[in-house]
Amino acid sequence: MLGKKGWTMLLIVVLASSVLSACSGNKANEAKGAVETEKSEGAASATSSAEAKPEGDNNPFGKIDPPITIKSVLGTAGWATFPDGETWDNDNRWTKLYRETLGIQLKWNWLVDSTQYDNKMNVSIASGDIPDLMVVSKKQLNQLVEADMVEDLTEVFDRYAMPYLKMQVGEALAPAQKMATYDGKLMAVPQYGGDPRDSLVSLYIRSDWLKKLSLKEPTTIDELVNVADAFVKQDPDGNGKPDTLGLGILSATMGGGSMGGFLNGFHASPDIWVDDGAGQLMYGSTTPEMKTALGKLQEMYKGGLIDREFGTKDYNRLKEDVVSGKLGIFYGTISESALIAVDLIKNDPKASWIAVPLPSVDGTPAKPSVGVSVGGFLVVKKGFSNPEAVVKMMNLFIQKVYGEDEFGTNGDNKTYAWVDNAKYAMHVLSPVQGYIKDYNYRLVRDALASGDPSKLNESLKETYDLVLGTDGSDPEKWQQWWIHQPAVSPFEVRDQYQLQPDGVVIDKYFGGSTKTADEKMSTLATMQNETFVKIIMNAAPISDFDNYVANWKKLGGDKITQEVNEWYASNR
Amino acid sequence: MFNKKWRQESANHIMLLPGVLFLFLFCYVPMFGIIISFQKYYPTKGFFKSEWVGLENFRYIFELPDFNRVLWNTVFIASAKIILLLIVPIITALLLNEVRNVLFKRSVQTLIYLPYFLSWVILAGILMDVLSLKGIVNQMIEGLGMQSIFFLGNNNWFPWTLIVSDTWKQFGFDTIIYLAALTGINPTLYEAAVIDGASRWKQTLHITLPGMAPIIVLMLTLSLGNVLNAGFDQVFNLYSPPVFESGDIIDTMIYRIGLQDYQFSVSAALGLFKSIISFVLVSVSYAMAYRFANYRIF
Repeated sequence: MLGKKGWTMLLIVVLASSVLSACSGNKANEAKGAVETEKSEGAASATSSAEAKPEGDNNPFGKIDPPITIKSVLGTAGWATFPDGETWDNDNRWTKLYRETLGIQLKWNWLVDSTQYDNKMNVSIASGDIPDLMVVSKKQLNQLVEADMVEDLTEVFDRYAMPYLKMQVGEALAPAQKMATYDGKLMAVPQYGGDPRDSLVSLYIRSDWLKKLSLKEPTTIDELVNVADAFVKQDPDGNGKPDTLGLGILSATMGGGSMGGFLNGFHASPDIWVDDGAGQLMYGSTTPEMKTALGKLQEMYKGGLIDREFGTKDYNRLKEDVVSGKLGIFYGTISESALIAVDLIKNDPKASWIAVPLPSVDGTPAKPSVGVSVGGFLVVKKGFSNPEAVVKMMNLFIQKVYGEDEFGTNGDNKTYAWVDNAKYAMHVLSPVQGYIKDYNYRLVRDALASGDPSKLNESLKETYDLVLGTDGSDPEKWQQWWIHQPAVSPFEVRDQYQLQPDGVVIDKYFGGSTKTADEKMSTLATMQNETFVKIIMNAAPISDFDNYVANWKKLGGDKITQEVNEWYASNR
Repeated sequence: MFNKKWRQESANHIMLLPGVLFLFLFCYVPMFGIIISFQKYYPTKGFFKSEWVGLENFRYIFELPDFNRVLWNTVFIASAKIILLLIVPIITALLLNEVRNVLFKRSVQTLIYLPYFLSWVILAGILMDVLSLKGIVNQMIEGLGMQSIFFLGNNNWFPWTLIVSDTWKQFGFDTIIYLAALTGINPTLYEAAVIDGASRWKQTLHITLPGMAPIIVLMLTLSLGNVLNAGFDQVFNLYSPPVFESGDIIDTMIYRIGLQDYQFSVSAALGLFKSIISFVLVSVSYAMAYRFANYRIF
């Protein structure tokens, strides 16, 4: 599963991808945005009055009459700034929107920096004084459900969720919805983290280096090793010094920069629960494929194809290596296009990147593995008068940030998410947040291919114009340009994986932490991390993997597997 | 008699009151929280409704596979730090005391004191660069024709990297305390020694060191309570999976269990275990200081 920070970063990039570096006429846009808001509000209230029924009104955007006050809490992000006059706790555009469109007045019980949010929430829960609406973690949700402190939202979700949200919940967001469901009852609205498959990794390679050394893009692990070898030994940067590195990996086994993509190449699925073929779930980190993959990494480390200091380097150090032109091959999610790749281009405009599918060890294509991403769970306090409010707020959030359908109709993320060329991130002001699968890449790509932007909404049209208006030579526009070149784009690689019905291995377990996992998982994870890194760094023989598996089972792994399978039997 | 004394001292007692209250409120009342180390504590249930499990959490800790390793690392790193932090500042203070050039003495004093004010978050970033395989230290080592050393990734070197870098950061502060102690020694003793024909070395041995003894014992006593404090901020910012074996300490373990896994009870039990050991050590060292160095707090 993605960490909270990873999750936020992913969303930021996903959201920003349609808006970033669009650069003309901010003021005009804002004004237009405002007009559009009024229009859509007018439209919403018109429909609500037209369809208004005193009882049983199912309008997803219906205004609650008389207006209600909801006590809630907010985790504030230190990096976010807002235009003058709008702050976390005063009347900002989101609180105004909820009040004017839905008749919901928000009142903050407390605001706290998001890094402290979990602790503060624990205190609130412990004191029994919880607000009407709040975001909690899976662990807290388990406790709240057990203590019967939150409302069952099954019925209100059925009645009020807008059609587009229901469609998404039926597909890409189904795992998230399952995570919030207890015995068939929906106890929370998940803060949707989009399609879990959105966070899959592809292989990023310096294509200028490939060209210089006349190598082709690797499709097998052997070819990958050859490329890494050439990058180390054949001086791809041409400075005459042997200062370039081979394959860049982190000690983490999932996410951007990690070794996860390499392990996937051996058909291993680290850190997630996979079907063993006999209807039982098993832990992907303990399989024989994993051992083979680690053995290969050890071999590469011994041969100098992996940085000698690899185990001690974190994400930012890996990034430094890339940006300083020492490292030209690593595994990354789409986020790394904005977090790493573009920084190299800014540093060295002559460099170029290509993203390719995961090289595989044999003829079978490698499938990337992903966890299920949910940012948190929105719960309503037991006994609150209007539980439907949370569903309506989610509708409105998604409508404003994404739109009511996959074409982004009514979406207005230039007013409600990324204002003023992504200078301000307004969406963090909303207590209700959800990220759904967006089709922006596909829409813009197809429009570019056909030369017909008529289906695009305003913000996508801007991306379209931006891509058309550059050849990638301007580093400021490079990222948007690059990700829309299907031949080299990590978005295209991701899209191709997603179009295959079974192209991605998704974590099969959504039950959160089990009882034993609560107690043992961190010990097991530490042990795993340490063993893997030591094996790769040749500080332990590959046979240590077997000890690790035996210990993993003995120290709680077997019990966790049993609990996970009990859940699987009733929730598959 | 009592009344008179009380009248004289009442003002002092009243002035003491806020401090005592503060201490009681923020140091003694929270001790009530120890209770969760004997419970299976859930925040939703609170102190009173959480299930009572007795010593279960402690049993769980002692059965953790890493526990012995972590305990050993903690004791080893912390003890080495205590010893080095006793010897290095004393020697530095003695040497500085002999320096006649006041400007030089003051500059050195200030320079070695400087790292004390930097947080480990910053220092760790610097150390990672300086000590990396391509860093300045290894460039010098290679320049001398030796093999480069992987300070932050090799289990033989990592604990010593921690110990030495911590000593480097802290010793300036302790040096100043010892220098202060040196100024407190009666100069007439030195004059008498010179008349008796004692060399500088003899003076150091028989006047300076005995004169510093009470403060040395005090510093040692205070530091013994830290035998299980191997320095969370330092280790947390410098360690990585390859050196868990030699660098994982009790505090980083508490952090992982308590803050990352929300196992508050286990975390509290581990903290309590640490406090009890420290309490015993402080008591013993105080008793010893009381007896052998005639040291009194009151």
